[in-house]
Parts: sequence; structure tokens; C-alpha cells
Amino acid sequence: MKKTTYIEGITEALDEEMERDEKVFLIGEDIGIYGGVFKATKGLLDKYGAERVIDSPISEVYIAGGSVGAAMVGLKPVAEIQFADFITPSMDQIIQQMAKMRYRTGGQWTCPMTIRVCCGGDIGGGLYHSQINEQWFFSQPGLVVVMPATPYDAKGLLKSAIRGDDPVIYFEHKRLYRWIKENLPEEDFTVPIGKAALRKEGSDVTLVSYGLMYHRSMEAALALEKEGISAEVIDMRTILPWDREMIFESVKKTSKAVLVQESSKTGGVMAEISASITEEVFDFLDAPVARVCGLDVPAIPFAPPMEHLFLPNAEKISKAVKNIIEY
Amino acid sequence: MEYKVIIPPLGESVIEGTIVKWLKNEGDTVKVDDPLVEIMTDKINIEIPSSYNGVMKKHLVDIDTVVEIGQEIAIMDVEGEVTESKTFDTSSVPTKEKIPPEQKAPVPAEEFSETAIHHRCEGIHADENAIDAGIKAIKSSPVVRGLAREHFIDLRKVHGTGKNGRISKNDVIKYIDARHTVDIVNPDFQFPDLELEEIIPVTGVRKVISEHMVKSAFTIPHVTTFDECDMTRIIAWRKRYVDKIEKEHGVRITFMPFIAKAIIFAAKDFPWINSTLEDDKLHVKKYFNIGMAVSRDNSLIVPVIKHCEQKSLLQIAKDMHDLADKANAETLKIEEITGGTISITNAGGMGALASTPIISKPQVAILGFHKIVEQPVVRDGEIVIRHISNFGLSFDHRVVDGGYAVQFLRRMIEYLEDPDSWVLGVV
Repeated sequence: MKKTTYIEGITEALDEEMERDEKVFLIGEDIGIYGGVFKATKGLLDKYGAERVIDSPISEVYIAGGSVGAAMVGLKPVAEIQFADFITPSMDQIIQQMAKMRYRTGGQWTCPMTIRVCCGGDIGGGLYHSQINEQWFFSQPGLVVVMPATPYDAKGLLKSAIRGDDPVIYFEHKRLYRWIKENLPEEDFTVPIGKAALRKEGSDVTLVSYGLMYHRSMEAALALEKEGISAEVIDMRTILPWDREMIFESVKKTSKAVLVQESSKTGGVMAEISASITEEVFDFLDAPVARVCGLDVPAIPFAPPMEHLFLPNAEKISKAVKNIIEY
Repeated sequence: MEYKVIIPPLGESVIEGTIVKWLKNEGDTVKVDDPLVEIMTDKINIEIPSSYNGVMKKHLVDIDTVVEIGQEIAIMDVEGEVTESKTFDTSSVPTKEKIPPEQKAPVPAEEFSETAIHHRCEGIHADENAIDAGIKAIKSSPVVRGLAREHFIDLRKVHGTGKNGRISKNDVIKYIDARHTVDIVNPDFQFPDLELEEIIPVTGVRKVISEHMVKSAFTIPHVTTFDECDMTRIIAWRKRYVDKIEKEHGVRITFMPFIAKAIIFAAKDFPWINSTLEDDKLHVKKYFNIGMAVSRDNSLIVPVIKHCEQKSLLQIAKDMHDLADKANAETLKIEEITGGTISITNAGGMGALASTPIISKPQVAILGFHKIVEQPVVRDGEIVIRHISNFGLSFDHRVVDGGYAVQFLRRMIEYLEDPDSWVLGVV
């Protein structure tokens, strides 16, 4: 066992998968000589050389498109998008090529690649260094979208993503990079895609979230516990395809759900989950499904008080829980 | 050869019993008359003996199963031939009441059947109309509506603790938990704090007594008539002889044998008092098997003294004593608690001045004997102090009229008030 941060978990996963499979290579801005803007790829250029750790031009469309081509001919690219805010130029490659490749070729071609996307707020990063934008990918069938919340999942999910046969958007939350440490096993392990984690059992309400918001939800749950409210906490881990069974079973038990998401509320992941809960387990509900989300403004504001206003936190989550507990 | 063990007749009005314990396990060797199984019936446990030598092959019923008379309960391998399966005349065995098909309760949907049985048993659940009306009247969430249907709840009776009195899932769950212990008649009823109560399930002998009492109390139209008995002379008689009798015969005579005798004498003129009512036929008895209620630790049993009309006071006293001992030691045999023709219960020993006893079906009368109290009474224009006891006679008004019962009780008391006349053989 070894104390490992979230970002170290990512570096280890990349290192181990590159060592395990020579078809795996990395491509992205500043990932080679500089070791990545957050140092996620530090040391890998020295170890594996410039052919497998490629410093790309500042062109997200090239990073994504080049990776799609490489994946089609049998390599296993792991691309890095330095900030999720800048992923839009690559959208055509991701949505029109990567996500649809297996489908439109009737399975003759596949696209086994991973795009690591550094994302998330609560770091004072302002408009163009704080977004996630997971909802754009969540609505695209053909993609797998994951967002780990712990070092264990960061490492295990990245390994599953790289080993898989289909394209994965791997969101890594920059607020979590060095915030939490966890003892990770020395031996090889993976975290299955499509399976959420039940982080805390409870009977009164179900809290569903992922990424940084899982930690905010857990904070709220522990505070609520002291007030006699028992919250069940689910960390989704995989956003697409999401673990319907675990969420539905939990809501059937508690009859109440609060869904927490860092991105803006309208059209977000939790809108879909809320709708699915009312479709599938309506008969078990005892209160409206509640959402705690980022505000519906164009992007996360820069000024710290404004960023605080924008982002969900434990206090806002607790308030939403109490509101439906008292309903 | 294979032989099927069946439940034999267990005494009148006994139609079923509960398997308490298997006394021969599968594979055990069995000899004739070895007890095979212990069965609990109304008020008594009985062992069923084997009719053959052989081996217990297979138990067909588990412990705690309710079995009916005639039911097959085990298979034995027996030595030699079983000429014919040991059967018995079932015509004398009472059968369970049959519900005509058209009166059967509607069969609910499969998934609700367990709850529905519960529903019928508890009798405190809402009917379909009330459930629908409750759901229409009260704004409630999907899960609350679902619970209302599943658990037969009229939501108008549930106390809501949510915003504006809204009923939450927890409110319904609390209601379901609480209603198992309270009778929900008043919709404004507030549930008691259950932590302040101890809840004891009614099971075993208590349940048997309970069912028996309900059957007797709600089938027989009871009337109880009271009269006063002046016990002064009986007391004097007893005082004179009690020690002597105890010394010579080892039994301390009580007032009960005198009462038994008085019943027999009085019933000469009022024979219907000593009878049983079965299937619209009154069986007027020419003999007196007198049941005597004995209270045990936590239950009640009524051993029967057979043929009191042929027994002396002393013999009745001895029999009563023996049976009471057996009752306390729980060694009564089935024939010692069945076949009663009339019963006596003595609540006076514990201090009761009056009671209205419940008749033991199918008998038609029971006499309650109460505390003897020294009282000022008027005799020949003078106030004198006499030992007085209240007698209460409960009778089945279907077959015994009021005047008949009142006269019987008065006649009985007359015998008791003048013991010399019959103790000395004058009567």
C-alpha cells in the first residue's frame, strides 16, 4: 500500500498501461518535455521516448482527430485536453468520428482511445479554466464518460478506459489532483466502467453525484447525520452509461433523492437522472426529486465570492435535503 | 409394511391440535403404545401412542403445525401385516364449520394475498372504498398511495407531519407499526408512546383459551341470575368435621363438594340445567360430570369429576383434590378434562363478591360461587349475623328460560342452607 494522490494515480495508470501494452501512447499539449501543465505525465517522456509521449501543436482538433486515426489502425491513444474549456475545437472529431465509428462501420472499425480531460472549478480559475461540460458528451450515445472522485478510482478507471475497445472521455477534476491522498494497492487493479460506488448507506434520502461534488455531498451527509438525517451517498464514477440499478434501488429504499452536479443546471446530467427516476421508480417517491447544480450562467465566474455563489457546496446540499425531508 | 399414523379422536368438541414435539424421530424403533408425538389441544397436551411395533419412517408434518382429527401425520414401517388401517367412526367427530362458497371473502390479487389474509385476521384495516376515498381526499406522494393500497390504509386516518400536515412515507410506516397494537376506531386517535407499553403476543395455551372463550361467549346467549345463599349451617357442619375428616381420610373438605351435591339434588326437578346443546339437540344428562375451574400460573383448566351422582361427599372431595393436583402438575389426561355436563367456578376464594361466568360450550350452565361474608340479615323479624355468599348462575337462554334457571338456583340454595336434611340421608 502506498499513499497516492489523485494525480499520482493518473500518472501511475499511464505508466503501468504503457509498460503493459506498447500500443499505448500519449499525445497532448505540453505533456512531454514540460510533463503536463499539472504534471500528470511527468517523467514519462524520459521513460518511453518522444514517439510514445508526443508534444502536440496547440490544436485540439488535431489531438482528437490524430488519435481517432491512430486508434483505427490498431494503436491505443491516450490524448490529453489541457482544459475542458478548450475541448470545443475537437468536438467534430469526438462526436462525428470517434463516437460513431463502430456504429457507422457496422463494427468493422473501432476506436479504442481515451481522451483525458482536465476539468472543474473551485480553484479560482475563472471562465476558461473551470468548466467541465460533461453534458455535451453525456448526450452522445457511443461514448463512455467517466469522472473519478478518488485516487483509487482515478487510477482504476483510467486503466479500464485504456484497456477497453471503445472511446472514453475521462474527466479528471483538477481540484482533486492534490487534495486527497489514498492508500492504493501495489498490485494491478482496475475499476469497472458503468458501476457506481455506494459510499455511505442511509435511509432517509439518496445523494447522487460524481467528481468533486461527491466530496461535497459526503460532507453534507456527515453533517446531516449529526442532525438525525440519514443520507445514502452514491458516487456515480461512470456518467455514461450510468448505474441505473444502484440509483433506482437506493431511491426505492429512501423514496427521496437529491442530485448534485457542478455544471449548470439546465440540460445537465442530473436532469436526465431526475427524469429517469420519475419514469422508473415514480411509485416509490415521497417527495419531488431535487437538484443542486451550478447556476445557469455562461460560465463559472472568476471573483471568489461569485465562484462560491455559483458552485454547489455542503451547505446548499444540506438545505436541499432538509427541504425535501420536511416536504 | 407401511402404515400411516393418523390423529385419533381427542375428545368431544376437539377438532384439531398442534404438533408440539415428535417423540419418535425418523428412523427410531417403535413399540406398541410407545408415545409417537405430543399434541396440544384445547387446554391439554396429549401423547399419541403407537398401535404397532415397527420403525418411524417419515414425519409428514412439522412442529407447530395445526392438524385435524383423521389427518395423516407420519408413515411407519410396521412388522407383519396391517389387516386394515386403524380407522375410527368419524360421525362422532365434530367437523370444522364449512363456509358456503358464496360467502367466501373475495380472493385478492396474488401479490396482495399475504397482506389480505392479514387484513382479514386483524379486522382493523380499511376496506377498498375507504382506501380509495382516502387517496382521493388527501394529497399524497406516489409511495404513500402505494403503501395505503398495500397495507389497507384509509389515509384520512393517518396523522401527517410534513409541510401543511402532508402525510410522509414515515408517517404511514409509523401508522402501520402502531395499528398492530391499537384499535383504530376514532380517527383522531393519537398513538400511544409504545416504549411505555410491554407487548405480549397471545400464543399457545393463552390463544387456545382465548379462542374457546370467544366461541362460548359469542355463540351462547348468556344470562346470569344471582341469589344469596346463607352458608352459616354448612360452615358450622364443616367446622365440626373438617379436622376429623382430614385426619382419617387425608383430605381437607371444602365447600365445593357440598355445592356439587346441591346441584345434583336441585337438578332432579330442573334436569335441563345439566345438559349439553349440540347440533340443535339438547342432550339432557342422567349423570353428573361436574367441571371445576382451576386457575394455574397463567392459564385456566377445567378438570371434570365424573359421575358425582354415584359418589359420596368425601369421594367428590378426594377427586377434586386429586384433579387439582394433576392440573397444577400438568399431568391431566384428556378424559379428565372432557365430558363435563355442568361447571362450577369459585371466584370467592380470591375475594370476588359477584361474577358472570362464561359457559363452557356445549354445556348450558355454569355456577359461580363467591366470597362468604358475615352480614346482618333479618330472620323472623330480628337482625342477625349470618354467613352469606352470592351465587351467580349463567345459563344458555336458548334452551333454559329465566324462570326455570332462577327456580333451579333457589332450590339448590335451599339444599345448601339446610344440609342436615340430606347429609343425614333424609332427602
